[in-house]
Amino acid sequence: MQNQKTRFVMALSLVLSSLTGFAQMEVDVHGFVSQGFMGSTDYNFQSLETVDGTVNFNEMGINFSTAISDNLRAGVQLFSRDYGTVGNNSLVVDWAYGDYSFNDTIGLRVGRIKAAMGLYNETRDIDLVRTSILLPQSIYNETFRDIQSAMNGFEIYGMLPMNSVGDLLYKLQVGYTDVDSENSGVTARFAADGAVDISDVESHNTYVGSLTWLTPLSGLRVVGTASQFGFKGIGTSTLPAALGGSTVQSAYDLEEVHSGSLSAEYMTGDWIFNAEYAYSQVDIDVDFYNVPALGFSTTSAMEQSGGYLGSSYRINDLVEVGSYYSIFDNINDERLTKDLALSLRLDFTANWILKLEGHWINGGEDVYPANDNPGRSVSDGDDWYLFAAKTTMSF
Amino acid sequence: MRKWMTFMIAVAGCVTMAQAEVRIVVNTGAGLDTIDAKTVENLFLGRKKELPNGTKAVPVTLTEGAVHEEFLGSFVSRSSSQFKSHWKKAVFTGQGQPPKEVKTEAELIEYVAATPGAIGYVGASADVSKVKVVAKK
Repeated sequence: MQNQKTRFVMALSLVLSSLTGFAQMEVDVHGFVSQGFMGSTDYNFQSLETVDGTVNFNEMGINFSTAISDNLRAGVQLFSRDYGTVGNNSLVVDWAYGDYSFNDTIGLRVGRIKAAMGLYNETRDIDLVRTSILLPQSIYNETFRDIQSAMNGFEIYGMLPMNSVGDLLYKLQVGYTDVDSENSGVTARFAADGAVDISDVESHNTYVGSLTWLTPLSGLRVVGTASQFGFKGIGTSTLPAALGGSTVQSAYDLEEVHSGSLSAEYMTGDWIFNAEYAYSQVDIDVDFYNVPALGFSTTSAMEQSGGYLGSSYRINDLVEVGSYYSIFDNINDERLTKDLALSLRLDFTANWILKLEGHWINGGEDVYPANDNPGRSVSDGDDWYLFAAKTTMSF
Repeated sequence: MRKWMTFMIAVAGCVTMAQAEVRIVVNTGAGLDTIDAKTVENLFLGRKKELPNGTKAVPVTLTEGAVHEEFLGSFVSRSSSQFKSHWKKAVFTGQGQPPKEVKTEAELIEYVAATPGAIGYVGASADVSKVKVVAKK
């Protein structure tokens, strides 16, 4: 997989450099490096060893893009991330696409594109464009970022003027997700819940439709998103010694994850207010195919929803503050996880920022039993705290 | 009470007077007489790439200053930091590059005058004889 990616990146770089060499086009180059720290009381947060404090929390990216003609652009961003047991700084292609704009009403992007879900899914890799370090986990779970943020396929997009009632931006996307089983959040999450090693993860087709209504009230946009995606993989676990200790293999199939969200963002002066709600539902098929005694299939359904209210305020060129209150509802388990976050952002220069953030958390959705959290014994009444610091340099 | 109200009215008056007028200017060959604020916002945020007559738009901005801040507040509904953040999002998702920046209004006028499809903004005191004013606030 890594060899394939390396070859792809080299080929793309070669094509871009050839194009720019022959046609004397300008190539824009931008990049960023982020390094963070996270610490917590009581429980380890998601895939990180936060109780002891961890610096296994970084992101870096570099992109190259060029305008080939008035209507055609092309570019690529290489990205690397460490998030505890997820990412492990393996190099991935974050996005790489050709973008042809026929006119303002319709355009086409082909290649690896960012998935248009909610207000911030397309920009969740870019720490420097928001106030908070962590986006609200009820909508933007950090563990699943690698499978949610981009897809290989195509996108039709454009803007439809609606005169006195504003404008409508639309995006229709079809693709599939290239999953790196070894470093994916899917693998980490499955392992975390059931002590099952997941391998050979592949995605089903992904379909996304997104509408953004730019309302007549200046600064207010409302976004509605619907999506369907899915994954399958092989699970391997070992039976307890009392049951023979043999290895059990199973085929997991999350064939159709249906998800929808409704979001709003309002900018006025130095304030930004935002709110989002999302709901998802999935049927999970598990086929224990190699153990005759367990030679059967099971199907279970999983439902969850989440939402948040947030705001941020820029005090001056140096200081910005923000806060959100987020609730995740694990409908199957009838458990809520609440998160109140307070963020401070300092812009030392146009290219260097520092963020500090505190979270009061009540609930256990972000506590994974396999990550030194035995028994996942967080009750609904348990309060615990998370602290994060992160600095980003960009150009 | 009357003194307090007089003071407040005076302060409000000063604030109003302090607001700089912003004029939207285009290349004289653009074939435009007027442009509405919503179209200006969409052009400077990269949502639209064409002027209303179909010409490819080439937006140009000032790097900073009172006229720049006033333009962003009046026509783009964003603060300077929000405007920068918008374009960083576009840059790091591959969805566009920010408009060309110039340091002075004189440079902006020269650029607009020399570039077909160019659109920019200047304050009330700028010499606009080489370009066409199509909107103001």
